[in-house]
Parts: sequence; C-alpha cells; structure tokens
Amino acid sequence: MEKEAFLRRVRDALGGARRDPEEEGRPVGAAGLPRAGRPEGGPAALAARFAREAQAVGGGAERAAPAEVAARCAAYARAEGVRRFVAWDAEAAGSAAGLWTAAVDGLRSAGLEELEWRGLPADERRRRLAAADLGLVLADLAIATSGTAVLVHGAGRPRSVSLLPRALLVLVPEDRLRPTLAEALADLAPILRRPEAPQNVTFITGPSKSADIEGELVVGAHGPYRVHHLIVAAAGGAHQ
Amino acid sequence: MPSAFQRRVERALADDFLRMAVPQGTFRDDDARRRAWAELGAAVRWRERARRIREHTVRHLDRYLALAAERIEAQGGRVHWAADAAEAAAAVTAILRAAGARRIVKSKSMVTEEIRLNERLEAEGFEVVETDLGEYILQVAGDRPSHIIAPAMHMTRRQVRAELSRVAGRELPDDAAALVAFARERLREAFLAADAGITGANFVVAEAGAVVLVSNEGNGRMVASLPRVHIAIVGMERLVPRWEDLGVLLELLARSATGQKMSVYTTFAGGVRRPDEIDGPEEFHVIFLDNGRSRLLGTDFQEALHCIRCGACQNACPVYRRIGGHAYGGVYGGPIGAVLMPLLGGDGEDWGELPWASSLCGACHEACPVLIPLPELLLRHRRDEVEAGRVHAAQRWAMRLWGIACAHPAAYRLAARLARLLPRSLVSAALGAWTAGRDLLPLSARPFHARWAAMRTARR
Repeated sequence: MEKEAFLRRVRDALGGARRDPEEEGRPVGAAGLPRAGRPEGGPAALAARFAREAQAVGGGAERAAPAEVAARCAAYARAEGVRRFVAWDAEAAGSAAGLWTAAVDGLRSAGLEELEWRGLPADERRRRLAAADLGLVLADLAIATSGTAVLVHGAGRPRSVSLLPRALLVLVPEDRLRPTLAEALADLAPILRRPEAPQNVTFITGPSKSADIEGELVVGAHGPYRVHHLIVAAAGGAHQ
Repeated sequence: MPSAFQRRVERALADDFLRMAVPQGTFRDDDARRRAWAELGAAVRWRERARRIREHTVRHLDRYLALAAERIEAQGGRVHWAADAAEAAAAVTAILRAAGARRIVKSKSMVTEEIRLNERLEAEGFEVVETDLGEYILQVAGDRPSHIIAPAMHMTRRQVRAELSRVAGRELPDDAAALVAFARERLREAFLAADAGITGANFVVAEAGAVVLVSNEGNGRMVASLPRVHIAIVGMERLVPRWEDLGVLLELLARSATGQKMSVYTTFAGGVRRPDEIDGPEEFHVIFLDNGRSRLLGTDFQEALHCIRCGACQNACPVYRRIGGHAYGGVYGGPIGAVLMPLLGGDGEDWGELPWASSLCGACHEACPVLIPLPELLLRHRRDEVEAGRVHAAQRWAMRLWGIACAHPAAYRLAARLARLLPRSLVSAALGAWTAGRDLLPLSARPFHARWAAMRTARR
C-alpha cells in the first residue's frame, strides 16, 4: 500500500473530533509521578542499591577504588575460570580510558588471552567473538533501582562483545549511576536526538534467562550465563 | 450441537496438564505483577499516565506514523506500509529476494503470528527459524502460542524433551537446563549463519524512528544485531511519541508481564549500522501493518489499540486460567483476545462467541497497565451481537419476556407463581446448557416481594 493511502485511511477513521487540543495535555514522560523506593544519599548509596538489585536478578557486583581495578578484574577472571576475552577499543572508553586500561591489564595479568576481532571478515569475526569466555565492556550509564547497565554501541564498541561470550564483565564508573530509568533516559535522550545518534543502545539487567519450559527459570538462554559489575568509585571514594 | 469454541473449551478442560499448568503459571505471574506494581508506589498514577500516553498516541496516530517514517528514512532505514497480512508478507519476500537472503532468524513476535508469516515465507522457499525458546519449541512441534508472554505454557517438559530429542537425533536429558542448553547451541548456529533477521517491536519511538525490543533470552538482540538485514514488523498502533514517554511504558511493561523491574534486555535499534561499526544491520526495514486495526479507530473499540501486549489480563482472568489460550482459537486469547479477535477477524472465523467467555468480573481491567476498560469493551461486543440479531432465538425471547415481567409487577407475580407450579426437571431441561454444569436452585416457597411486604408491615 502507498504511504499516503495508508495514512489517509488512518486520518479518515480518526476524524477530527476526538483529538487533543494541539499539543495541550500531551503527556510528558514520568514528570511529577511519585516513585517509591528511590535511593537516597550519595554515590555510595546508589552503588549499594545497584549491587543489591544486580544480585537479585542473578548478577554480581562489587565496588572498588580506581587503584584496585586491575587486581579485582584479575581476581574475577581467576574465580570464573575464563581463559579468553574480547573487549571494546581502548579509544572508545573516552574519559574512562584510565580505568579501561587497568581492567584490560588486570585480565592479561591473570593469564587471559585477548582475542582479536578487528580486521577479520564478518563471518570469522563473529565466530571469534562467540568463542570468547568473557566480554569486557564499559557502562555509559547504570540504573540503581533495577541493577541495569546501559551500553551505547558504536564504532569500537561492538554489541557482540556483550552478547556472544559466556560471561560479561561491566565496568561502571560510579558517577554514571542514576537512581531510576527516568533519570537515565533524561541523560540519554539528548544523545539519541543528535543527527548522528547511535544505532543501538542496550539496557542489560542481569544474565540472559528463559522460563519457557514449565515456567522453570533457567539462566543462560542466548546471551551470557553470568554478568558481573565492577563499580569504580571516584579516586579515594571507595571506602568513604 | 456444540460450537467450535465450545468443543475447544471441552478439550482444554479435559487436559490434565493444562488444568494444572495454566493456573500455576498465571497465578504466579499475576502475583508477581502485584508485587512489582507495589514497589513502584502509587502504581495507579503511573498507569493513568501510561493510559494518557497511549490515548494521545492513538488519537494522533497518522501524525506519529508520518514522523516515525521520516526519522527511520533519515537514518538510512526503509519504511513499508502493509494493509493486510498478504501485503506484509509480500513486502518481506521482496526485501529478502532483493538482499539475496535465504536463511532467516526470527525473534518472538505476536504480530508475525497474527499474519502467519512463517507459513507464507516457507511457501516461498525461505528457511525460517524461530529463536525465542518457547516459539522454537512450538515451531518444532508444529504448534501455536497459547499465551502472549509464555507461548508454550500449555506444553509439558516431557513433550518439550520429546520434540527437541527428535531434532537432536538423540535422547536429551529430562532437565530444563539441559534442554535450554541444547536449544542455545542449535540456535547459536542459526544466528551466526542467518542472512536476515525478522523482529516485531514492543514500541517504536516516533521522534527517533527507533524500534524498541524487549526480551529476557536475548533473541531480540541477536536477531537485530547479527544478520546483515533487519526487518521489523510493527502493528501500526505500537508507537510512542518521545523517549520520556517510552520510560513510563517500560516501567510498566516488564512489571505487568512477569513482575520484573526490567526485562534482561531492552534494545533501541534505529536505522543501519553507523560508519566503522562491525556489527548491526546493513539494511533496516520497518513494515507498518494495519490488518484491520484502522477499523477500530473512531469507534467504541479504539481503546483496544492502547494494548502493549503484556499478558497481564490473561494472567488475571478466571476464564483464561481454566481454559488456557488455545481454547479461544485465535492468535490472541484471554480478555484482550476476546475483544480484538472479533474486530481483527482472521482465519475464516467470525469470533463473535469470544466476548461471551467472560464473567465480566473486572479482574482484567484491574490488571491492565494502561487501564483499558476490557469488561466494557466485551459488553459493547455483546450489545453489537444482540443488535445484529446474532443471538439464539430462545435467548432473545427469554430476555423479552423478562423485560415485560420486570416492567409490570402484576405480570411478574403471575410468572413467579406459574414457575413454582412447573416441575423442576422440566425447567431444568428447558434451560439446557445453563444447567449442564450447574444445579438449578429451588425457588423459595415464599417469594421475596411477599416477604418484603410482610417485613414492612411488621416494622410499622
């Protein structure tokens, strides 16, 4: 069907009488709505809430000072028994480049091999990414009340890294934590409204799961079986 | 002579597993919904805001469709307009042929079930694989979904095991985790080998032209990320004006469906992959589907288009809990299905019987995150059925006589006296189907109006 004919059919069926007065009374998101259980307090309170919620959905979370990032990543990798990892580009880490380098170094120091996905033909690249035990990514935002990490994908930040490996490690700089979805969307909307908006933004809340067989919850459907978050405090802030 | 619907109901009620599994699954998710709403605090205010967003969107649907189409094209996507199932399938086929795609992966989508897309594509020689675990099991078993969120709710683990063992060519363990692991491995290969991916859309954000996909397994992400072509088929009412409005609906969608705060994966996908990206589709197509929806616009049933397909009304419905989704016969079962199916039509049935499969108890209205007045819509259907003369002659006469009796006290008393004289077995037989599952209560020896008169005299 032609676009104009399709839209005309809709317009004619709607008629004019039932419309809202121009833009008046148009709902504006969650503005003014009450929200129970909003975490109060500073970054430490948000981090604590995030960790609790992430654990409630079967994920893991711990808080670390910047100086501890490498050691914590290495310890996590050893505990998980992972051997090969894939990661985003260091250049894509932006202002968190320092943390990123520390995390990658930590994984390498634990004896993990970094699988190279750059410069390969598409099919080989996908198989390489799927062969990794662990994917390392950096959260652009995180939501405390649901234990959700927000990833903005793009050049150097492939979506496959958080999707194909069996385990996922997410770095969460503490200042990127937001209390609820509404605040996270408020920060994201300007980026999404740019002419060069990202093609793909993904909210990840715990490990992949399915309850399609007799309602029994099984972890690890198509995506990672395990998701761990390393919440990184601002310098000197982890133990306050 | 029982109708096709009655026969399906009888079959469902005779199914021992269904009688256990459907109440178990629906009560669990209904309870989870209540707890998740309570956590939000003042849930009814969130629901009222969500209702306003859906109402505003549907009232201005032409405007938001035009805006979404403009934004999708600005980001390198293509928009197609399908009046019905055949046009949607033709659009998909043309896209796949032009792209040289043969192997297709699909994520869970009710709208593609509605238009029976798989059958149409397979008839054209395409290889289509469902990748939501429930839908995959149904595809292997040659079955159809019975619940909006939990499509294979009606199947036992033993049945699933038998179906997947057949695919595997060996006996798989009788263990849900092992069966999921087998499907994961199988479907991983399908994802990696696919030329094109087909998804539905939980929402399309009009201001951005972005498709929003929500899933727990990750099938939506896989299908929209790995193949070089992504086709999203979207019921034309599934729009939301702005990102902020999406936030309200997302807070309610997962809570209402499964009691989760957020589903595991929520993905915003818009246009084609950006420069220097290594994954994401090279081609992005959105097909807006009417398929009878515009017939609801401007009518008493417009609010049915506010639905966000969370399944909460199915979980709350005492009728659905007994008979499950297949008894309804169409792709959408439960209260929203009983409203939608007679309007959307399809599969050569008129579905006029479905609105009567309700006690009008109101549980569906209380469970609906966008406050659709489902009992009222069911009543409107019944009114239309009566006005069109599509009810049994005996029922028409009974209601007419009842009306006369109620308007004339003398006639009422006479009728009551006569009814007392008739043998009960005769009354029971005359009421036929009504007494098949119930006992006819004996009439009191002294009618109420006589007792009432006596009480009033005694008081004075």
